[in-house]
Amino acid sequence: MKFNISNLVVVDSSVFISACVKAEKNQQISWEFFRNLEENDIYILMPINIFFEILNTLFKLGVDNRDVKKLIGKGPISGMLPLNEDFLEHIWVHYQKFGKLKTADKILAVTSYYTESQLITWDQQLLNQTRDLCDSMSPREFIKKK
Amino acid sequence: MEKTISIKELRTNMPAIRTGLEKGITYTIIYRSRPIGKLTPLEENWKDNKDFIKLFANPPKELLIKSKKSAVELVREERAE
Repeated sequence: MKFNISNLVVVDSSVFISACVKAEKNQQISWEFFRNLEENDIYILMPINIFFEILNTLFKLGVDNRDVKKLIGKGPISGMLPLNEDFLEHIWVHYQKFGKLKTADKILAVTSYYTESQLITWDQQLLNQTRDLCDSMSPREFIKKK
Repeated sequence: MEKTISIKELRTNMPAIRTGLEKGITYTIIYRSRPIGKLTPLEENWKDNKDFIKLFANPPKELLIKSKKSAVELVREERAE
């Protein structure tokens, strides 16, 4: 299951949600970040629980159920990682390196670590907890580096 | 463009096939006279990924929502449950 694609990033739900929340201070930079991915042919690697987390957060914030359903049909199927036996078999050996992170945080971190992809998040806590082992950064830092 | 190649050609001509993939050629692989799979260029395979990215680069109005909480707070709440 090892990906050999150099242009991959693992993106935390906080970046997707910030692109959708009006008056969110990071919204414009999140839009710029996604435009940057698009222009540079960089693709998203997404553990499937993160996709559900995005959908559920949007739904709870009041996005119409029909629009959430439409989003399901537009998911990044090609970069989606099922949390199956194959995934666990490959990542479990690295899983414990990330200490006491919450499950979703740890799945993101270990995916980034295993695939040697950058981990992008607005969450300072997640950045601090993963920087030693992953190439973690905020969308702002990512844009600056490009 | 599509080409059909045997497993043997795949083994011996890998550099040329890689170049072909970069040029957008899709290869159908033949083993013992039967097609067994395809090698397709990344852009074609990952189009849905790019479409998803575009969606968040310019979200449609139905996905724009109001919240007093920041995106990080919202996700943290979700993970705390």
